Amino acid sequence: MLAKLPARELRAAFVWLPVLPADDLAAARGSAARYPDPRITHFWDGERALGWALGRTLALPPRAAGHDNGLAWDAYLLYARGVRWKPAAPPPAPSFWMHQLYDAAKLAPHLDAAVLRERTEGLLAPAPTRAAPR
Amino acid sequence: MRRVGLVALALFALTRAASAAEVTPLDGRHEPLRSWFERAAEKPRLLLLLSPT
Repeated sequence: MLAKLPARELRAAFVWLPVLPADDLAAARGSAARYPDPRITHFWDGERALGWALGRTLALPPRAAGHDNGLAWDAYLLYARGVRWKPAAPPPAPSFWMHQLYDAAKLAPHLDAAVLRERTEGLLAPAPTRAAPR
Repeated sequence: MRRVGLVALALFALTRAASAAEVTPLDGRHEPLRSWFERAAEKPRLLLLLSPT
């Protein structure tokens, strides 16, 4: 999808986290190598701290006992200019998001790359300029 | 008792939020995720959470 979005000002964080049995740091490095786009920074969330924290932000339903929310993964979050992540605060809610989770259909749309690209392009468009006061 | 549980949950959420902010890049640089997010605050950003396999 990023290949079809040449805008230089776009930034992307690919956060790899262990969910499936074979997921580990080596697998994350291997997957990250497939996306060498300089606009992407690859992160490793080995403790799934971001996954759980974003699960709370997104109000994902819990799947296991002992958790008050679900784990965010297979999730694609888009943030508009100016959205901030305050110190000591949970990660902010995205401007738009999609996913490939079976139990989040009521929260956000299932991933559709064309739609995500379109929404991203919408945020890349220059902000309308205000008319100068007379 | 319920209040103690709620306080514990809130503390747990705070701890998790702090850890989430500290997630670091794969390439060994020390730029926590929250710093990356803030450095690019005037740009649109995509944040993807993915399983590597």
